[in-house]
Amino acid sequence: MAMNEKNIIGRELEGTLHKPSRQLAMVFDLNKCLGCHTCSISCKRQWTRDEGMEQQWWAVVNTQPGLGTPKNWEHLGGGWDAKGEPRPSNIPTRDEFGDAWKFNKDEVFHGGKGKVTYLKPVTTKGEAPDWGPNWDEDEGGGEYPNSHFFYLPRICNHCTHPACLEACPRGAIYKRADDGIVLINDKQCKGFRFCMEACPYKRIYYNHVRDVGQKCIFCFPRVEKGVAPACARQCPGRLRFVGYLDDENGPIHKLVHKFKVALPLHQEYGTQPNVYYVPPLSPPSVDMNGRVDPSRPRIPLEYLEGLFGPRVKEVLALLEAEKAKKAKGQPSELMDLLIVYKWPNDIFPDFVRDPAEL
Amino acid sequence: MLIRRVDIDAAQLGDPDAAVWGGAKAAAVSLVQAPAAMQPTRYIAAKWQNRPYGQAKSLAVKALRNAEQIAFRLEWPAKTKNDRRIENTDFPDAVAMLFPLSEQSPLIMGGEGAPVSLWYWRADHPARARNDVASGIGTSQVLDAESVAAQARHRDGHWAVVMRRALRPTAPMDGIVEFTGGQALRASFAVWDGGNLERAGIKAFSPSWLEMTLED
Repeated sequence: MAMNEKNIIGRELEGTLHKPSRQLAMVFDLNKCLGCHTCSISCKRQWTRDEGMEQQWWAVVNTQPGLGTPKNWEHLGGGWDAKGEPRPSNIPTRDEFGDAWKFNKDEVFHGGKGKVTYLKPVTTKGEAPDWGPNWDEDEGGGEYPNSHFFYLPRICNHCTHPACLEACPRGAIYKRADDGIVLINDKQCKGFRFCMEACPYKRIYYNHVRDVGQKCIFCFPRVEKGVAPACARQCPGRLRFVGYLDDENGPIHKLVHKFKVALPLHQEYGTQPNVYYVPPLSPPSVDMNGRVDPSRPRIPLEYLEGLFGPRVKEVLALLEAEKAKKAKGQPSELMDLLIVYKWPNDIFPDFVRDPAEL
Repeated sequence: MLIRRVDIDAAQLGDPDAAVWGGAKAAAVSLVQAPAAMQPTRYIAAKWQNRPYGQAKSLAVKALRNAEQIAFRLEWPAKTKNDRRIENTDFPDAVAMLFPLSEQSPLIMGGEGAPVSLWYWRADHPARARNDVASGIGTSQVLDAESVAAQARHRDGHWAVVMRRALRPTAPMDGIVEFTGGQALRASFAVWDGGNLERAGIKAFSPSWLEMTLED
């Protein structure tokens, strides 16, 4: 797409955002995520195995509170400010993303050194790493007895107002009109990496072998054939819902618009992400004498509001109330929706095909 | 500027340190920062509006031809040598020449229906320059990555690069500039300081054409 085309979906033209006719979205229920990383690995095995992609993890699972991937991404800038102006940012380095490590397998397994050294990673510079793609896993925050953490799976949000698309001087990023998937055209891309700066979620990677930017593609070749994205289909926790936002019969519309329990991550970045999160409940906090304080959850409300906005409290209250109904044997459409009794029909009803049958 | 014809082989013609270049007269081409207001996206303008870039003030251009080839020797100040492209923040140093392909071609990357031919040398591929064609900012496409040979060296805070090619391409096509003895030609130039993360429109460029005549 040339820069002089005026009708690029997802771009602001004369103050109006040019939107797709339909938008695919995902909802991640954070009450179910175990941090198993099957999603990360399924994506890696499917898409990022080629030379130059070693350090790419299009689907990550960060421990929150934590610095995440890349390191401290939440405070690196990018996105849009309150006035709708682009916020400058920088390109995160390979070390900040967590570079692809090499291991001393030869000396340990074949070099007879198994008793004098141990299997360990070295960075591409040959040094002991001091950061990795998931370095602060399970560290979390808080003080004993109220230490706390939860897992936050993140992919490209295929935003409705994508900062990456608008930053590219070659118009190499485009948003599909039929489903809202945002893609980098790797023939038009020249590896300028302004997109890497502009994305506030820092989900774009640089392939130095091919000199292009690369990121999650929403598994569009699978989706076009009715197969769910790899990360969603492989998730054993049944927490990754996939569907169209406008499909009133589907789980996405119900979670986002009907029950309104699915919230955007860092809405203040202004990009209108299309990956939503059901915030995590947590046990009540407890004092050193073991007395429980039911008014304060272990994961501080303010922390969750900093991620998912001011509606967290009412969403958590609704989840508690619906859980209580179910526990008493009363019906709850919301709980049935979140439980996913029937897989894959309850979780991505439009994408139930088995890729092995294609 | 007259592009003199000399009777030397391609290897010398292509070597920035060959004696023959010592005898060639240089044109001092003025360079300016490509303005932030001209950057094609708001992000780029916002990021660079208060940052210095495109600071090279001048490019020394020499040009020679022999029986079959034409060569341009470009020298400009570059405090650091940036020729690696591995780290996410690596941007190699680069220089480019822009030749109009039509009478109306603007020197700012061409325009619709008024294309330009670009010879683009970047320090991570020191032995060749790419031949691109463009019809406006953001539209450049690679036509050919091999036929413009290059040789470069960085010394005493300067890059010196020679780009060399056959006068007439073996496979003429749209977007490839042809050189004919006796003709007038014009070019503009751009320089990128990779150490300052310069790429795309974040560059120094010449706001006027360099007028040349190719000796027969």
